[in-house]
Amino acid sequence: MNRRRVLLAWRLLRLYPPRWRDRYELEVRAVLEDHPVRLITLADLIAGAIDARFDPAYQPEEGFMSGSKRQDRRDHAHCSFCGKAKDQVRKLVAGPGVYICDSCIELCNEVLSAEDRPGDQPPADASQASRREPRPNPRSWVRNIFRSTVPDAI
Amino acid sequence: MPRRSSDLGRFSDPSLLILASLASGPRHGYAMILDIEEFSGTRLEPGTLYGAIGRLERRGWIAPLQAQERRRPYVLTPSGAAALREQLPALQRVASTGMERLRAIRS
Repeated sequence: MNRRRVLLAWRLLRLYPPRWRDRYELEVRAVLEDHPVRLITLADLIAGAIDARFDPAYQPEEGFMSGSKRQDRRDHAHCSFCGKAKDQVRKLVAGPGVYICDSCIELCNEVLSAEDRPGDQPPADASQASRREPRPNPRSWVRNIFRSTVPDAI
Repeated sequence: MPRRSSDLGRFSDPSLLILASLASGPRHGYAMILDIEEFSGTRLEPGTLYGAIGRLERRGWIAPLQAQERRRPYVLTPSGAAALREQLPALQRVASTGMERLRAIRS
């Protein structure tokens, strides 16, 4: 079980910006081999990746863009997490200053849905479970976030 | 921020914990996690730890040493030690004021 989580955690390091990965990825991989990888560890890595994506120290270059440059950028958009270009993915969704592709959304879904797998949590009482509020589907959750920030996908 | 024991842990600052950990000598990432957990009860997760390490390194408060295999130790720099020295008395004042006021509540 822990080995599977370590591999998942290593995969999540792909969400970090290239400059961060050049500098820290090997070290963090080593830490993840020693450290017990729990769900909070995976969620913390995703949060760290988002933080690093917004950190100017790990940005490639670029300053402010004119309108035509912005259009040009849209035409050459690539996933901010894995770096794949628009034409290398099935779908690329635009967020505020970032893009995410369908594969990276899948990866996030996988982590979020791991919570529901048996063995990750003690089994809940069936009668209690039926009274609980329905859990939002991670896919629709991610979709809603992007819908609320941008009008449409590319 | 992930915590193991107490909810109050959310008020602790990972950067401060790292500086305090390195005050006793160079350590690599996982050694810091273990040391910090032992002296503060806060278990830092790798995402949070390396977010803070990056910032501390850029400020020049800690410095990377030569990696041993894949594990890279970090060392507290003189300016990092000065920053820690500056922050600790403020924390001590917060702690002693809190204790003092709690004693007033009890009596």
